[in-house]
Amino acid sequence: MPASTVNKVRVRTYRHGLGDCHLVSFARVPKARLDKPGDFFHLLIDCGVVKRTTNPGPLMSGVMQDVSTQTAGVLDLVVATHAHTDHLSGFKQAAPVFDPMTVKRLWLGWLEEPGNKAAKKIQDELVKKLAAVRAATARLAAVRSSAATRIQGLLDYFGPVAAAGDQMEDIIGILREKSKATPEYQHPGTTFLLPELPNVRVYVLGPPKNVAEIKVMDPRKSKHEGYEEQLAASTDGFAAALSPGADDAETESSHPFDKRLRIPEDRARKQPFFKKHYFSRDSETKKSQEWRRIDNAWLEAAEKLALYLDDYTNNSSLALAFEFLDTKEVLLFPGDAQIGSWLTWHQFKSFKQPGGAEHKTGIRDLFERVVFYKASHHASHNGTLSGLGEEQTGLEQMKSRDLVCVVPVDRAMSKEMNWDRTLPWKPLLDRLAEKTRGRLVLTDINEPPPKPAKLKLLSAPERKQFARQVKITPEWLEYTL
Amino acid sequence: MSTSRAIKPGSELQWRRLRGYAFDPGLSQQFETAAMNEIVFRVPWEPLEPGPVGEHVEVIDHDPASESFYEPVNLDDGWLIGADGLKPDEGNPQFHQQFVYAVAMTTIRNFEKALGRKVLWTLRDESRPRGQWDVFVRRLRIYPHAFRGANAYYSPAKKALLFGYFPASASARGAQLPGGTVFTCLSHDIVAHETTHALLDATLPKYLDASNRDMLAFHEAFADIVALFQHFSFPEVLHHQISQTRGDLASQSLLGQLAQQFGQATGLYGGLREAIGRVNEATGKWEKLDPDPNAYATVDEPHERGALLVAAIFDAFLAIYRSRVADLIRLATGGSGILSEGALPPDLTTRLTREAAKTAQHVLGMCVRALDYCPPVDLTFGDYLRAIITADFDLVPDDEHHYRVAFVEAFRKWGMYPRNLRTLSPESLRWPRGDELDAKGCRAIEFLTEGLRPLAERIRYRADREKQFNLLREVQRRIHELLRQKIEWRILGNIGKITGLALKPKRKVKGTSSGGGAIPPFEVQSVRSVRRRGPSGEEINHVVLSITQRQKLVINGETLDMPCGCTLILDLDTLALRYAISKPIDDPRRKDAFRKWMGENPTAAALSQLDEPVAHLHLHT
Repeated sequence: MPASTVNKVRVRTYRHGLGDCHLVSFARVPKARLDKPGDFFHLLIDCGVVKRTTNPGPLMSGVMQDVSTQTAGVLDLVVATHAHTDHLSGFKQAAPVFDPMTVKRLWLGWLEEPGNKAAKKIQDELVKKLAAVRAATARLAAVRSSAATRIQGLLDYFGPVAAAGDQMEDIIGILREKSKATPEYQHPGTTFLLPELPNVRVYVLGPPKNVAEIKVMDPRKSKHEGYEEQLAASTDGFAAALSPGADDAETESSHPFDKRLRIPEDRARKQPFFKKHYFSRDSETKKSQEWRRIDNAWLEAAEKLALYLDDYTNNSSLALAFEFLDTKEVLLFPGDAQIGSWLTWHQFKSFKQPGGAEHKTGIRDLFERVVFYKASHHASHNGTLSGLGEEQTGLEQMKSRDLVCVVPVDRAMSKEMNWDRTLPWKPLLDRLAEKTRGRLVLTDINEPPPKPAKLKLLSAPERKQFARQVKITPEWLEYTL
Repeated sequence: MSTSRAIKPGSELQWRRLRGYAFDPGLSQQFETAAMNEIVFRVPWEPLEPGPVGEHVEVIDHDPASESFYEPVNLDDGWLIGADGLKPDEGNPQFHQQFVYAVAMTTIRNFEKALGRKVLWTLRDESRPRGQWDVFVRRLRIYPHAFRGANAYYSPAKKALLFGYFPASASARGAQLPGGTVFTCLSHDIVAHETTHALLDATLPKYLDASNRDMLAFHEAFADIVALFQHFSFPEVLHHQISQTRGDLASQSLLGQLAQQFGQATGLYGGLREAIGRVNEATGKWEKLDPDPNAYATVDEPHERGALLVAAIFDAFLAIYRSRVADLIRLATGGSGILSEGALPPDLTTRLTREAAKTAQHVLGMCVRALDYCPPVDLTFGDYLRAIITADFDLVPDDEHHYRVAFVEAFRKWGMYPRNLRTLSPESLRWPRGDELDAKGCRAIEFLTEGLRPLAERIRYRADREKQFNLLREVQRRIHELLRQKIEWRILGNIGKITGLALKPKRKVKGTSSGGGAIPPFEVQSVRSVRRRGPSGEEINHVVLSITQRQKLVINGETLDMPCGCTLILDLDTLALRYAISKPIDDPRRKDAFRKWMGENPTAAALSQLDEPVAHLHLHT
């Protein structure tokens, strides 16, 4: 039996849990043979799983082993979309398998570029605020606040603090060192051709230039940007109160009132007023006033900040589109970009080529030709822009009759993390099912795959094509073009 | 607490005068507005401990993020009584304490005046034995510097208002000192808004459940409405603004623009300015926005949706104001309606100010009184309109100034009206009266109401709020007992049908846990005694009784409680059922709507389970 062949590309998405790992193998030659890894240009987009996963080491090693087998240990390109565990952890957890592999090139978002001053400022701020959130969470956990559990769930995405700093940054460091060529930092609104693949054009959509200013996480709330702007500033005072290393002048200036007006707690405890109304039992009911105290209420602001940081990092995703020059078909890999980032893509009426020349293809045109969409942010409620009405945006612009969507989700894990309501978001899954006319494939191992025979909205040839295009095993699902 | 002196200082006074901001400190730093921003609040006199700690509120100044406490202000100090309190000063925490006290008490006073009874703060504690879930809390606690952040919220669990502070960003509104601190407790609107959340929660405790798309929006809108109309009761502010105005006074722009400035001044509650109007960038002139009847069907975010309700009520206010000043304008302009050049005659300014203030007071009163005519759960804006209209029918049978028509028209233009009515007239919007009750039902109601008469009488002579509370809770318990076992359900007639409650043990409704012959679980949520007198001498002598039940529905694999219930308005004079305002338990349309809403809004279900729903409501803005 002759080995099966691929005309354009094969995308293998792993079904290892809540996390992303996609091996995108572009055919370098016509009728590339699957038993000859050298016939392909292998691109690995992310490799990670959420922190709460049990035994992630063997799990991710298994995934990486398959990647190694498929590629004969040579990755032509690695893309690390953003610094969250569910996208990067595998590069470390599967170290024994990954170490002997070769990475020829590495792409990262512009925010990771070492010499970029704007990027550095944003990253420093992120690290400072993460530290504040972690400090607040530790204090909340000490008093058994329910907020601590919720915040920890968000912090899990960032991974623990490693000795030298942030663990996710460490992983990016490992990738940087491993790459044979100098890492390339991609900027939004650019486009270029790949020398190895004359038939493929790459478009960079995100992370946006102004990613630090993006506060719009939900399109319904877009009119309240002013408030969000204050939100960003308002966390400075919060962070200052939680930074043990901050200098005295900074701490002092974060206080709202002059020193002589402030009464420290030990003195307040002795004052009749605070004794009566705050510390001791209620003078009328003789009951403890503990329930009304606010000693830790202020720390709960950490939850808002953690949500913000989480959304920020998702929006820092390197979002890419790949276009085949001959058939004009487009594959969309947005990482975990949320609506805030999607909204900026709509400005792209054209893309800049290396050297500055305009490439006259607009975002709308690209979206209309998307045939493969990797659902952003595990199909969460704010992961995919889907504006209806006159101004159709995002998903609504994807009009190809061939659209197939792959969603990395794990409902059981979402439930464990208390996110089953929004991750995935049912109304979005429903809409994706409508847009793809049933060709929606979830990585969740408990999810029955769509049976081509049951896809009533497809024509007979389309059903046949889908059966040919999508292959599903317990370990991975595969899309071939 | 006792004092040896015969007369306490100030005990002869009716009002306590306290200085403060009409808006927030930002406006005092702008030359044009400095004059009107500093006003004197008049709050009803009460003896105060330092704090201030009074009958309704207590201000405790703990700033945990700064690991500090701030000395409490003693407003009963003779020197401060004489000086109208401390002078406005952002750098003095004691002024902050005075200001939150003044605004919170002004808001509470407006509420008590409209409702005709004292406000009772209650804490919900379902770990206590049945029938004692509501616990009396004497004072609402106010923390003026509770945390660092651009937020302020009402905490139902702590029975407290928590105000944050944050560094002003350089790009913020021009008047703020960059790098200075913005205190949310120094904004009149924010303090009034949060106090209103607490007042609404004390009146209708189930209204923080996001059981439909209007519920949280209503909490927000109502808080904004109170804050907005409270401004119009400050004559200094109105007078200043009206005297500054040129041109066509009968047009809507004056008060609309003013209301917008209120919204801008606070910055935090911005929905208002978007809903009422905006400055046309081409002409630089303020233009009122035309009502958008489709917005109600499409806007979901609670603040934006709430803004629609605020806008509708503001439109009604403008219509009433216009009709009230039409004669004045004709007199002042010789019938032309167009004023001559130059400053307005001072007398005209005074009269216009008085009309605006009076109209605002009336509209605010209508909005607050309507709360007694709302269903205990699951309110929609259309229901609220019906409540406003019905409450007004009862108090002012003869609608001389066409207030009710103004409300109906404004709500209609904004697309907010009940969909199941044939016509939209004030008469048809009135809640169904108790005349569908059959003879048995009438007798049962008569029996119940007669039993409530002496209790309602007794409550009037309980000056102490805690005693009032205990008495009411006792009444609640007795009614519960009565309905649960003592009354044989057969004698209730068609009360079950009219109230939409599941009262019969046999009527097995799917989803409720009825067993052992008892009727499905229900709660006598509140009993309120209402006595009001209308402008033409009509007297209202009612008891408002709210009963709630829950229906379990499985949505997306999760069991959720659909709230159901009924507000019964009982007339103590005629012993009849005046209105039954019902959210029926076995209504397929309600079930469908609830399923759809909860299924599509995963966060709504989550929000109502949080410890601090209001904090999150604001935080996710």
